[in-house]
Amino acid sequence: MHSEVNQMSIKFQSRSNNEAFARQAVAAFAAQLDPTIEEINDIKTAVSEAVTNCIVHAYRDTLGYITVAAKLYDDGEIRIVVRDKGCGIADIQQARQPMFTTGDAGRSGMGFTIMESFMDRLRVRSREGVGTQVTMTKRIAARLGQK
Amino acid sequence: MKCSHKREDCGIVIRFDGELGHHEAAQCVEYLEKTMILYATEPIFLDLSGLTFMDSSGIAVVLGAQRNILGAGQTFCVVGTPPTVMRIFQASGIVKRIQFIPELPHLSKPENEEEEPCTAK
Ligand SMILES: Nc1ncnc2c1ncn2[C@@H]1O[C@H](COP(=O)(O)OP(=O)(O)O)[C@@H](O)[C@H]1O
Ligand SMILES: [Mg+2]
Repeated sequence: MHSEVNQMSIKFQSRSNNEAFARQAVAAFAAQLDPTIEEINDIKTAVSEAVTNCIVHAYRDTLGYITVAAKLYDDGEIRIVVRDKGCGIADIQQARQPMFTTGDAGRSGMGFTIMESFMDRLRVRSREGVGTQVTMTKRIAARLGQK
Repeated sequence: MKCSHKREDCGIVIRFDGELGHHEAAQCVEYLEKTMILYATEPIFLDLSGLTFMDSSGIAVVLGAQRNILGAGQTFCVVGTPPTVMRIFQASGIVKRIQFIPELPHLSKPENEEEEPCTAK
C-alpha cells in the first residue's frame, strides 16, 4: 500500500535567512514518521541543499519565491518537492556531477551529491528561464502508527 | 551561529557553535580569515564539536580555511567533529584530504613529551 496520509507546503522568499526555517519546518513535519535522529538530519540536510540552490543559483541576482511541499505516506515514505521559478539548469546531468559548480568559492559543488546520498531517490526537472523542481523521497523504516 | 576562539597550549582553537549552512557561511569565513591574520604563525585548530547542523556550504568553509592556512605554512586540524557532521564530509569524499582529530592534543605534560602535537591518529 502507498497512500497519502498528510501533506504540507510552505512558500517563502529567496532570502538566506529562510534556509533554517525551511529545513526545520520539513524536519518538524517529518517527525510524524518517528524517524531516528540520523534520518531527520538526512532530511534536514537534503532540504537545506535544495533550498540553498534556489537562493544562490536560481535567483542569483534577484528575489523570488521558493515552494517546499512534503507528503507523508502510510508506508513511511516522505516525498519532498522544492520548486523555484528561477534561471533553470542547462545541463542537469552535468549539474549533478560531484564538484560541479557554477557558483563562487563559497560553493563546493557537492549539493546534489549529498541530496542523492542522504535520500533514497532524487529527481531533477528543469527548464532554462522557467525554473527547477527537485523531488526527493526517503523511506523511514516501519514506524508509522506503531506508537 | 557563534564563532569564538581561544589560545590553548597546542595553538589557536577556533570554535563554531550552532548551525552552519549557506546563510551562516560568510560570517564563519570572515571570522576564520580575521583570526588567521591575527595569529599568523600559530597552529590553528577548528573545533566543530558545537555544530548541530552542517551542509555542503560548511564543506566550502572548511576547505577554504584549510587552503589559506596550509598555504601560509601553518598547521590546520579539525577537532571534535560530531557524527552527523562527519557524514557530510564522508558523502563529499573529502575525509582523507582533511586532518581530523577527536580532541585537542595535550601538550606540556612531562609523561607525554614524545606526543606529536598536530598529527591525526
Ligand atoms: N535550483 C537551481 N537553479 C539553477 N541552477 C541550479 C539549481 N540547483 C542547482 N543548480 C546548478 O547545479 C550546480 C550544482 O549544484 P550543487 O550540486 O548543489 O553544487 P553547488 O550549489 O555547490 O554549486 C550549481 O552550481 C548550479 O549551476
Ligand atoms: Mg548547492
